[in-house]
Amino acid sequence: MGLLDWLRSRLTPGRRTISKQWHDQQTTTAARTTMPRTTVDASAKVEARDQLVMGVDVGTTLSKVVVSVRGRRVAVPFEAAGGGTNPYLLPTAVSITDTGECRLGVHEAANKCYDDIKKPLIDGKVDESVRLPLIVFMALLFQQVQNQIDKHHDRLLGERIDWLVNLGVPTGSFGGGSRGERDLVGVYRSCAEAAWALVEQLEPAGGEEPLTLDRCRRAMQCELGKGSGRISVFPEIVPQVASYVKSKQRREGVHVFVDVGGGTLDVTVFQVLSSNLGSEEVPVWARMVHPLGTRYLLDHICKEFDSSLELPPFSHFPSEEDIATDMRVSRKEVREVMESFRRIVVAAIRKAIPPRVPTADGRMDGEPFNLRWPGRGFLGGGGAFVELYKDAVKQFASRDFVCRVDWVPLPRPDELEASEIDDAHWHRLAVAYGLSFDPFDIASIRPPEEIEPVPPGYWQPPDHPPPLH
Amino acid sequence: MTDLPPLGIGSAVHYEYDPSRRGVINKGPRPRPVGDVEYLMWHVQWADGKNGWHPQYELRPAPETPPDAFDLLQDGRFCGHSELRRNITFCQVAGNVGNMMYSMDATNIKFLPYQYKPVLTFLESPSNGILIADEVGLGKTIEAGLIWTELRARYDARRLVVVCPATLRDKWELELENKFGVSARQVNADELLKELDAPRHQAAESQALVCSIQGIRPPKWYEQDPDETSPAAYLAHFLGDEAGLPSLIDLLVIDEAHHFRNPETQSAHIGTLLRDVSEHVVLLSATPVNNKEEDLFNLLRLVDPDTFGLPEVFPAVLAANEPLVHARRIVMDHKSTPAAIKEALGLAGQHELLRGSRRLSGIIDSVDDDLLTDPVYRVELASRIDKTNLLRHVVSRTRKREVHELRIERRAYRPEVKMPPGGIEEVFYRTVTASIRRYATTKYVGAGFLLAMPQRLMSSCMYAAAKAWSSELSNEDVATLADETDDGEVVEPQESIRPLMEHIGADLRGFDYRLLRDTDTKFTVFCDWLLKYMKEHPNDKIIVFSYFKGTLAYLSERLAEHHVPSQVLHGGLAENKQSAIDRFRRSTDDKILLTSEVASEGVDLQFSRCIVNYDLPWNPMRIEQRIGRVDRIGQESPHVWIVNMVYGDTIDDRIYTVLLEKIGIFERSIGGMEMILGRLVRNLADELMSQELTKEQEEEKIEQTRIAAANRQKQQDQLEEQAVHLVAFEDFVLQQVKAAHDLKRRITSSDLKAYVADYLDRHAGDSYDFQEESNGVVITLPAKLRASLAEYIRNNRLATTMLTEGRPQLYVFSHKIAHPSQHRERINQFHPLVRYIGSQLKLTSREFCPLIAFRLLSKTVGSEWPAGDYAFWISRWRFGGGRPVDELRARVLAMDGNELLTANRSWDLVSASKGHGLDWHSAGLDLDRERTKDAIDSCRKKLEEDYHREYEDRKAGNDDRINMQVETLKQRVGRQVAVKKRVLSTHREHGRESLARATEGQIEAVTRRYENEVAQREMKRDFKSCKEDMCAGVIRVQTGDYA
Repeated sequence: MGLLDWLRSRLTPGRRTISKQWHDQQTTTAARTTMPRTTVDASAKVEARDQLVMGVDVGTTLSKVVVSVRGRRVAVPFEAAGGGTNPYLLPTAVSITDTGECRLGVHEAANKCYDDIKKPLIDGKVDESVRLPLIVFMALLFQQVQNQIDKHHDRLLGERIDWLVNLGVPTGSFGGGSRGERDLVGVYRSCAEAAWALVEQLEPAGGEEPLTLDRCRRAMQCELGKGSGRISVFPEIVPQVASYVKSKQRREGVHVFVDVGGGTLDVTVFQVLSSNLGSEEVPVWARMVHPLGTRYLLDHICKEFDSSLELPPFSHFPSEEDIATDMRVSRKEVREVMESFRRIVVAAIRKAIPPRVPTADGRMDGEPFNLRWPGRGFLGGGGAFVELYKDAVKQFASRDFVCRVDWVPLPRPDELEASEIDDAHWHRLAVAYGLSFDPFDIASIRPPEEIEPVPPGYWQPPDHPPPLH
Repeated sequence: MTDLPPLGIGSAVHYEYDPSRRGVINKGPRPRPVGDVEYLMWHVQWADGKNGWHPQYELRPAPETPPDAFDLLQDGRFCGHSELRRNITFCQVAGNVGNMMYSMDATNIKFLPYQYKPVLTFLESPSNGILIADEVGLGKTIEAGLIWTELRARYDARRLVVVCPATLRDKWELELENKFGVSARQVNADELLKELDAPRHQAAESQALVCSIQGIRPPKWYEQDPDETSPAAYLAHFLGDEAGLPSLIDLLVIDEAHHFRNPETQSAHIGTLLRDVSEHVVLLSATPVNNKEEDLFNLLRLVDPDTFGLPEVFPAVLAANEPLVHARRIVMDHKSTPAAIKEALGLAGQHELLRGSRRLSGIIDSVDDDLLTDPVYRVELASRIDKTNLLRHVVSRTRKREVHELRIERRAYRPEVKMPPGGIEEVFYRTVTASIRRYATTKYVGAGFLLAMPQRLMSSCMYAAAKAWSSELSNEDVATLADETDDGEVVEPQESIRPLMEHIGADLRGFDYRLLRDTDTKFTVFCDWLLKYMKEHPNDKIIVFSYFKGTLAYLSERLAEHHVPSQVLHGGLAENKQSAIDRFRRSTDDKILLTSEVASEGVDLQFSRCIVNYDLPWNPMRIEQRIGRVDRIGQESPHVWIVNMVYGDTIDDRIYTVLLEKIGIFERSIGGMEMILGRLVRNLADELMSQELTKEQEEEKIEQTRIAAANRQKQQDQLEEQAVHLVAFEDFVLQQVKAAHDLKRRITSSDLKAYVADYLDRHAGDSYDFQEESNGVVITLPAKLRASLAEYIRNNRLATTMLTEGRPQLYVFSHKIAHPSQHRERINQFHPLVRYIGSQLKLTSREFCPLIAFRLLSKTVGSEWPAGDYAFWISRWRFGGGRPVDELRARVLAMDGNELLTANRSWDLVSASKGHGLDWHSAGLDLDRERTKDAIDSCRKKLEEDYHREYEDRKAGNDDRINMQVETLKQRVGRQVAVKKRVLSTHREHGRESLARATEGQIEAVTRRYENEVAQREMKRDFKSCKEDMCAGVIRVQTGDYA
């Protein structure tokens, strides 16, 4: 029995975990469409097989999935998204019910809720207590994505489906970085393999047996997760800018990506070469991951005012005014506190930018780096809407010089199907989108010390510098 | 699964799930183990610039010949909606598509359907010429501008020459610039010669040369006079030498073309010379027919020299047309029986010019009695009869009363101006009138207008007139008053006025004219009215006309005394007319424009709705001209005020009540009477002023003039009925125009954007910017494309563009061709980039995806399309030799009822769905392939039939035209030869052998010339055409909101 058949047989009405909105849409369309279905026999499938790539972006706060289906890239909506957020943004959380059943997302009735799945991993913890929630989360996620795709694209797809899963991890985890960071790649891969195997292993016998923590633990002990070739792990920066690098707006030259997540502030300075159409190596000049994300900003504010802020998990960052009201302080005070945090962010960025390009022997004392500016910059992540970060990146500079950056929006690719998200917010899906490409088509990154030296005078300043913002 | 043929590096492949994607394998294979299976991966470079790794099973080897619609249908592989839009947009933007209106909504003018009537007529005209004979005030300039826009879009036309009266040059220059984005330049004969002498392809793009008739008219006898060295003579020699060679001018526009009516004049001569070097010609005249049919003929000879080259053709054409027009009326009359229709058609077919008409005999053969009950069929039949009409494609005429958009009510008001009995004004008036009449009886005076002049000055403003007699009259005043009777030729200011003035001056010796200033009844009444009006309508601008400069100065001075600021406009001011008017329009202080007749011609004053005739020209056409400034297209008020200031109990008073009021000039446009009245009024002035007349006698004379005018009007109407009006079948042409507008058969901004984006996506390599912003698109082109574009611009002398500079810059896509704002560069259909893309795409063969399926929500296309599946087939046809036209045509079959839609409805659906389709990924599964194949094939077959019918019809039309030309040539040569033969036999009878031989030679020469001319026309019989299938597919129309 194929995986899909098995999954299909497991689906009972009570267990379906389909986005309500998505579900409603489909049913109402069917009702409203008066078009008679003058179709051929519905069971007549195209005699073909399909390779589907699941791009999974597990974020500190929210996770997103984009699946490539026959050249289209479909954002997957989740029922568990709920809570006012976009259907494509799934809280990175697992709830455990009284009966021990695991469910995706945050549920009020839940006995226990793991909503801090990723952060401990980034902090370098790799023990079972940290891996277990991640495996459960991934298993539930894989299962749901398969169900969704099967449901909505079943008629279109071939008999056989070859699933691939691409995962992203913070860019710092590649080539250098701390040991903990390096381990993260292995941890992710093994957890994902385990999760996939778990989904496959869940026997339909009885059909109703839910996924529990115990099962998961048992499965882990059975040495699950031997390499299947299905799972690939990539540094996030590459998929993050895929929509740009694979577009015709791509420019040769230095680029900056600032990703403001819930946990971290990631700054990556990389080179786009004329030849790297997204499937080669991306030279990365500099990268920086600091715990300066929106959650840390909030912590910082709370600490300053010696107060606490009751924010529902996964909600948007509060406005200056809301903070002032909540903490019973003046807006001016809030602004001052935020300003001090902004200075920290600016300083962190300054430290990250190399003043000089590396020489052939890897020493960072080649020609001054500023010759390569101006470049283009992108600001992404949930924190991209917080003014503080916007202001901070405008002063983008190294210790020696101001880097002229032309901040542009990430181009939204035509082939991404995500009708529920507007152009201003689509970049939240950028990593998942970039991960939905075939693993062969996703570049690896090349650390600065491995970047080939450039002949003197190779870098020509552009004819017309883009305007400074 | 079927076995896949071997793939390898270099294999051409297409994507299994999107047949429109084609590419070449350039790397691989790499194995991909997943779980317990393994398959091969290949790296493909796609034609659209993208690349990537794909499992082998997603790739299909591309066959040598691309699959056609039926091949793809066999596999159930459809392309999406974007392919349809791309294909259609490509053809429409890059091509010259017959059922498109490239000028529609592209210019800065409000859409008025009737203005596109001449455009459509012109496009269908095989002679490349048209006479636009619309009445005054309907915007003939605009119609000519629209035609130029069409020619630019279709044929890369770049040299426009406008010939107009000198006074209209500014207006042309401005209108072309502001409304059509064409930079115009005024040139004299010398400059025109220089421009035309340069190769045509080197002409700067979209430049118009505007010249005056007077400026380029060669002197008489220039051909015989070797000493004649004026630039105009050089120009005429040059044009004569160029005749018959490739055209120098793309479009020649002759404004006020009635000046070319008389073939004996030098104006007509230069007109013919220019016509011979022009590809297309547009004549503009509100009065093509004066008092004889030959007037129209002489103009048509310029429009279509092939057909109307011989004087004897014209009456024959009129005669042949008459039964045709009659037949058409019978067809359109729902009461007429099939027998009556057939009889009328049969009668039309009997005229010698139509006897051989393939089109007409085709119509006669195809009349179907059963179908005649269907009004749609009748309309179709009528339009087919129209096509055989011999004048239809050369004349277009719209009358004001036919234009619904121009229903502006005229409200006339004449305040009572009564000279106090025995007062100074009455004494002055009687003295002067008597003085003139005395002068007329004692001295010989040639022209009545001379006599009338002092009279007219006086009725304008007594004070100003009296003041003038103590000094000198300006040339403008004389010219204005003399111009009343102008029939086209320019009248020079006459010295002969002086003795009369002196005569009156002598009679008035000792008269203190300053008294007239103190007691000015007319001004008092005017001022009272004015102040009241201004109080009631404080924002209104008022135009006060006077034909006498002295009056204007006087009024300005007097109004200032009442604290009413005013602006004065007349000839000879330093400021040009248009800028003075613009200044007046913008001014918040000046509400009153005091103007001479300069503002009554060629300017738009619609911003005002009130004109004052401070004095009344006797010629009603002058008054019409004045009123026409405010009663015209663009007037927003539903009514206009016409205030007339006339002294009671004077000759003017009688002219007003007996002539002007009765012909109804203050109620509606009188149109078409210009010339008639000019001559009549000249005679009237003569009669009124040259003898002593009582009040009753004066009235009688005026009444006679009115009756004469009315009679002439009647004759005129009859003439037009026979000639011009017959050809204008408004309803049908207007329907076509409105349909084109409703269905957006034009280039839209989003079409242009899609066209450029698509080209860049496919051909610009992998590095360019096309970033859409809220207020435009930021475009940066790659260096190679920039260089190529720059070269193209240089070679073709196109306008420059920032795009060649490579700096990221915001551009606005716009279908408007004129530039209202200079802040952003606009990309319109004439933008160098769009032209460049067109030229590039012509070089590369373009691949169309032949099978398309998409969904359509019925709310986006209208309820007229019930839910269901519609199969379609779209083809592109090309017809014609010298001036090829593309046609995009479709046939649609409603699959539910298996009903084939008409050609028009088919195209409507395809065209409407261009912008709204939604992808339909499962089309290959949802559709029954056999059924779909049959449906698509039915469309294809029907379209094939359509093509052959269209081809036959066009060919028949072309043949008919040539046959008629040959026939008329034959008749003429027959007559000439017959005459010569009679002469020959006379010579023979009298034994004059040498003379007989000479005559024989002449007969031979005539016959040879005839043979040459026939051969020339026969060459045009070769009628080319071709057909290309574009795409086919299925449209699923569904109700509901969500798709």
